[in-house]
Amino acid sequence: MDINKAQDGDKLVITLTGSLDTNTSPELSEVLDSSLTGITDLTFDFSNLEYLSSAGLRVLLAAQNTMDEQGEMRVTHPNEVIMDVFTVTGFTEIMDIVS
Amino acid sequence: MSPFDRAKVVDDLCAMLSCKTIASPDDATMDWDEFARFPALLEERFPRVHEACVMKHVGRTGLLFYLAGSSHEHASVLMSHYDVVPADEKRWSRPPFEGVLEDGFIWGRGALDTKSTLCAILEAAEFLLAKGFHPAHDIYFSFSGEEEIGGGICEDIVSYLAANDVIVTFVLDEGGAVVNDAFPDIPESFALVGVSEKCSVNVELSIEKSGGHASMPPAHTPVGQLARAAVRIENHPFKVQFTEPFVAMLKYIAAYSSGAQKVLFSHPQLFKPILVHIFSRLDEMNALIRSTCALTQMKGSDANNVVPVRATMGMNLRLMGTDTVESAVSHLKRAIDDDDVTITVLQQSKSPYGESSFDCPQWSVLSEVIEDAWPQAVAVPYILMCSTDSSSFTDICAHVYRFSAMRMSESERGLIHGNDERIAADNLFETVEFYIRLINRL
Repeated sequence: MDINKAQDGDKLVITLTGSLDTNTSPELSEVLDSSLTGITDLTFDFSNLEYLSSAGLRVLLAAQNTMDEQGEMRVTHPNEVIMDVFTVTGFTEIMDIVS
Repeated sequence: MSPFDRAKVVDDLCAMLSCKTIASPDDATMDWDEFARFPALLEERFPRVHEACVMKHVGRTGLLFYLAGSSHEHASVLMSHYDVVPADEKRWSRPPFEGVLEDGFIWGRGALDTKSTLCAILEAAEFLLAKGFHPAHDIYFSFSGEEEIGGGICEDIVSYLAANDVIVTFVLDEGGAVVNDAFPDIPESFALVGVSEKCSVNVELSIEKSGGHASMPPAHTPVGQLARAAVRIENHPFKVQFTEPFVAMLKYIAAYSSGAQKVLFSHPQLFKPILVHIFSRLDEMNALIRSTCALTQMKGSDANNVVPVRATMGMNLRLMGTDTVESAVSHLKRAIDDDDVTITVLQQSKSPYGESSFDCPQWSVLSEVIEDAWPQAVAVPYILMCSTDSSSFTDICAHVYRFSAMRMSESERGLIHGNDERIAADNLFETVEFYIRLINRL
């Protein structure tokens, strides 16, 4: 998985490419741990993400927990498969997900 | 009701209750032989489950059964726990660890909390598998042996599922029950399903001073100061919060109410001041509308004639809604208004993320199964006041429900963690029937 960060002041856009799963979620977790200080607006761009597992959901929820304290978070452009994961797990009800 | 073997169900639960699986925060006092006996008992009593499922030991006491479905796209998780709190045998009228059937009741520690649901899950699976049942989707049975001490087994189970890329769409753990006496003047039964739960936090207040002889005491000893803090805390309750599940619960109940109660419950926000006035005087209802603080322990010196150097007071907070540990500590500081008092957070349960939806397919299935199993009951969302293992699952699934699938009267609710815990055999059979219907729908 490729993780690309674009920061503009207190806004951060993280673009993921590939697969967010058991093997790659620790990497994203590490990036988030070192990147969210002072961020008030976080966007995950999923345009190029092909697969999301429950390990990935866990990392996203941890980011959501942090951003609940600091500002806003959203996930944009998930593909159909990933959108289905968000829907069946109920994450569409607790996260701002923009198709 | 399904034609499962009722004598076997009773016998199996009695055998489970005879395992002395008492959880203790002190490892040295855990009876590991009894904890080892429990899974062995399950293997002996539920051969079809063990043949059809892959069983994995997780951590020291976790038991995770995997029943493969036709589709592996996503999975449901049915939870329970088999550890129990201690029992003061002298205060029981029947032995707490023998599993006694008498006058239609099964007696023993864990009969309600919650070897009964664990037993019912496995009885239902055993019955269905004997009939050639094959689930549409994957199902996991997740059983912890450290729930009562807040062990991390379910965190480990969630990590295992996440590591294996299991997408979980539905989780059911212990929680509310089918009650018919929770609301005055309403004859209907309600199945209270927890869509969230309070976060339990243990806090200690302490004061340290120079101490001394009781013959020349200061105007306010550490004990006196803590007593003043206690009064101030009790006089400053947490703010009222009408959460979404609470408002929904009132509206569900309004449909079965009449007169003024129907009007008040139908428009909770409009009549909030009146409802707060009424509910604040009823302990159970008060706990539904605000975070609570129970003062539970106080300690000074060991002798009557010694002013203590250090005095402490223990309390248990149950936080809900927008209250966090940090905001609760700030609330306590403001209420106490005494710089001599140190506030220390000792332990907190995992706080669930958000509230599970009660407008989704999972809720529909659950409420339909409840209303099939108990035709006179209506499924109602609410916030559970206790902490359960299920909070760990909110990391990977937003459809987590807390419902102990059994009828429970007010007096039975009082037996949980108390003396003479017991379950009516007929109620246990209804629980098995519930799980048969539920597993068929997963």
